[in-house]
Amino acid sequence: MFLKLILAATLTASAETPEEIIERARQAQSIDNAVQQIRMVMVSRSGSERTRELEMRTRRDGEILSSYARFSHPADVAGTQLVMVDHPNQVDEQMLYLPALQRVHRIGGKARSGAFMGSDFSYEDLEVSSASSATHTLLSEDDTLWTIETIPGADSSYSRIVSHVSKSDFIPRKIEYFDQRGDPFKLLEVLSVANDNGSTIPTRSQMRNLKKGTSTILEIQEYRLNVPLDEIPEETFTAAFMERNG
Amino acid sequence: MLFALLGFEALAAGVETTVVVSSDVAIDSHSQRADEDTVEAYTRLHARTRGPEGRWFLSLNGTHTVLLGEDHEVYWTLEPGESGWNHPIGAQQVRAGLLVERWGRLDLLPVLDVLNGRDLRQGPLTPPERIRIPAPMAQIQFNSWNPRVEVSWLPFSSLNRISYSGTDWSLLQQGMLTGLLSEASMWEGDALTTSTGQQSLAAINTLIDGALPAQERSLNHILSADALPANGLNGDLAIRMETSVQRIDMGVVGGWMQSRTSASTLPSVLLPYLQNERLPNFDEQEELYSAAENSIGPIRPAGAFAGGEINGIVGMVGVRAEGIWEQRVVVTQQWMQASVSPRVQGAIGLDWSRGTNFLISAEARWSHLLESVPNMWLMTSDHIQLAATLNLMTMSDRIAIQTSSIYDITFSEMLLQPSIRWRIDDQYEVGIGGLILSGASPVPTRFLDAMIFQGGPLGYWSFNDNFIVSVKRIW
Repeated sequence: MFLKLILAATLTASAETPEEIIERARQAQSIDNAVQQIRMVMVSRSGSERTRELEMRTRRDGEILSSYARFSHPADVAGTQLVMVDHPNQVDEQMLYLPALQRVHRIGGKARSGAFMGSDFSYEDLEVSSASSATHTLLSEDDTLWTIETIPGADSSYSRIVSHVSKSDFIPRKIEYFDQRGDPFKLLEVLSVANDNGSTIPTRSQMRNLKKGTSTILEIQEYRLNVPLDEIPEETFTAAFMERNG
Repeated sequence: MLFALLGFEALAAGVETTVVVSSDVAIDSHSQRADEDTVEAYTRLHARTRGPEGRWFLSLNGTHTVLLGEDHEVYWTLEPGESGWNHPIGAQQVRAGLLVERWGRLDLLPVLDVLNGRDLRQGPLTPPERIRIPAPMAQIQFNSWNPRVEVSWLPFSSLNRISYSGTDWSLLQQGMLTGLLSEASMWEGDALTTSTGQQSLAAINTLIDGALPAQERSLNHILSADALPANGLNGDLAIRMETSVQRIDMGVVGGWMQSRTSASTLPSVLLPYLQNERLPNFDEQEELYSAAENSIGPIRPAGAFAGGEINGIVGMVGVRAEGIWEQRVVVTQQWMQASVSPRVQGAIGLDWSRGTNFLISAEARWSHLLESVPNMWLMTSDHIQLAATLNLMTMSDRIAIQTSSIYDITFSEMLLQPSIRWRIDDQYEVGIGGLILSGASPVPTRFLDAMIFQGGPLGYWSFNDNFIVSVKRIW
């Protein structure tokens, strides 16, 4: 969902069914090509903070959306890289490069439910597409928001997800995640957005782990949208590129 | 140069600079050898700067070493880390400099990761990121091809670094050489040689016994003399082809390279005296003196190699497999002898992970020498090892619990290396850990016992059980 939020774009057409709303939300989150500088602040239960900085690059090739993230700070995680390739109606492909081991590690299955670099985001939260097995139900709507319940596929670590999607731009403003027992687990909120040539960019978001009392704030410090493709070649999303850039 | 660049970080957009200083103090839990170090303290600096898009990268590795034992020793080293230039030329990519190129994805029991030499001087106390020694290398990568092709040229080859003498991780540990001379000064030859021989050896022993630890350590420079061919063909050439199909990564490698091991050998003419613990007779001395002119002959063969790897996810389990055939590898033998044999190795690893916060991994490796070599030392014709790793990160990556273990089935030996680290804040991390080694064969304390040791590498250094305290400062 982190990726969903930072790839936001404005779409103003109306939609009726929950499936259409979710699909439009998915489209809204899939800007073609972008480079972003992101700051991630992890806040412990006691309130102490730790900061990580990363650059994220995204590229769209038809229905396939590829993302590449590289951490640059602090020193002991600098060089850590993550590639996510979003195939429509398939579980995403994820690869992680750890500089200490100097090797690429493919992430699959339950690994996707693990925390992303110590944050309150899981790898599953980073995915753009919903698996085709997910079902969506419109719970309610008002003048500004649709509230949609998603029952994800068996591969998910969540039993259900409730998204509060803005009617103006199809960007979820709040997402509630429930664990396998049905208890509230995590809460994602968009704290601020920016508008750029008709696109809506969530510049500050917070994921709270309601069980642990921890939270992670994501701030987009700089971004460039619609960058030329030769700046983000296809090779960026390969294990070889990650190994070379550790 | 590097620190000058550090100062310009704020001025240069896209330049990334990182510095980490870590200090590991290993305290020997109980002494099993008279001369072993009770405390080893390694303070390691790693400074790195990287240009925009990784077009260039410079790094520096420093190590300050304190060894406290019967002799105290303090010294430091500073050397370049991975540093080079990385640039696209059309669809191709060219890299050159001091590079590290890792092949294969096995961590504890790798077989395909042969391109860079390894730093083995501090045994398992060497952090994983310091094990591979950056080597002068030029690479061209044909990224637009499928399979992707990468050609690597190492003009000056690369060599493992091992310690021959003077530390707890040496092949000959502290006191072994002087112990040998002390014993030899009581051996007997014939009537003409016994007295003078004993006196000479006693005098040499006194001389070496009084030497500074650093002087004894300098023996390493003599014993680790390289044996690259004099014709200038000292380099390595390797090619790798790789592709991914249905999220399965496959690669094949092949090439020609110098052995990463250079084994120093004693001339065979010396062996009867060491094995029979006697001095040479008068009529044997001429042959002995002429042999001494080439007293330590290093063996470092060159040969072809070919291998492959396949990695993917089966269900929820990551599967990594790799294998290699090497035409000529050094085989160490008893009494500081060495031979050469072709070898095949295969390994498989299985892992299950949950993001970056939990990983459990198991690996197995089998090595087989294709030619029979007698009296092998720390090696065997068929060698099977198992390994396991557990990594757990909790409390938002503030607490890291890690355990690595290796069980050597062939030699019935074991290594266990647990640790727990606490990340206090963005700048500081502290940790405690341990290193436990055990072997079936008794640890040799005399030179003559070491030369005929029957066990494997874990058992040979199994006196090095340590309790470890770590502090890390991060910029």
